Amino acid sequence: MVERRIEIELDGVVVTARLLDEVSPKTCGAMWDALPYEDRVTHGKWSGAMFHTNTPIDLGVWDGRYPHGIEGRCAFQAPGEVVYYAPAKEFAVAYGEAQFSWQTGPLFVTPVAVIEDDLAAFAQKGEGLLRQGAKRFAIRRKRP
Amino acid sequence: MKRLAILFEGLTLAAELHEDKAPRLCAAFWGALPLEGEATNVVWGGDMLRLWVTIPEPPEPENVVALQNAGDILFVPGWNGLRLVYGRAQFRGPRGPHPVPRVGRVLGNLGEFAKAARRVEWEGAKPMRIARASA
Repeated sequence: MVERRIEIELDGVVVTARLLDEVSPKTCGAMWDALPYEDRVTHGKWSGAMFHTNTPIDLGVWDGRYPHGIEGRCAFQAPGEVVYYAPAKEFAVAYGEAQFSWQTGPLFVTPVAVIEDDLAAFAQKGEGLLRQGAKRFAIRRKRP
Repeated sequence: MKRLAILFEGLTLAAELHEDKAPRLCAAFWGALPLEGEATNVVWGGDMLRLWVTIPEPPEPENVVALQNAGDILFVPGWNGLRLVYGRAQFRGPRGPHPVPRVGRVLGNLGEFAKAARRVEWEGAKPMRIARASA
């Protein structure tokens, strides 16, 4: 399968990410079909160096039963990983040391993409959400 | 019991220090007042604000608690600055929950405080000032 790439924009900084079709084919397929997507993101409160979307985007993968539409389950994220949490219908992006969590602790999520570009400027914008508040975020298809 | 006044987003919140349970930390806190700085949300612990100020630190933690409640004021030697809990929260880091000293409590109805604190996530850091309100 040809690798698919997306562009992720946070407050004017654009990076390229590779979709993880081999790990989460159903979710990545639905995500690709749903693009472009735009929202205002806020910094996470429970997950470390991670921010998340706030407008639900239903990728049609949640059937209400365990494992709650979560594919390629991962409970740890590396800097630059993009994940989708089906029960909340939200994307989250790790820009540093992060672990998608809530009150109960870490949660399984679906890894959907990994940023391939240098993260420095993007991570600075991510950290900036803490002091500056919500910022514009967009995901769009990247043509080869 | 020593009283504090916390100014935040147009609110004046009354608070008390627990110097009976954490005498050295409270003395350091009291000695550093008034304190003024930016408040942001924490990134691992939920509904908890971090006030970015520096307080000269006594060496030993006191009145260490693993679970925190809305209204708690936390002073964490080693991670300077204060934390103020406004909802469901637990002091955590990448290694998980981290027991921390509780040095005081915001008094009264916390509804307006929580409402103002929740705006920080969307609007960004807000100024906060903590001053003495008793002798």
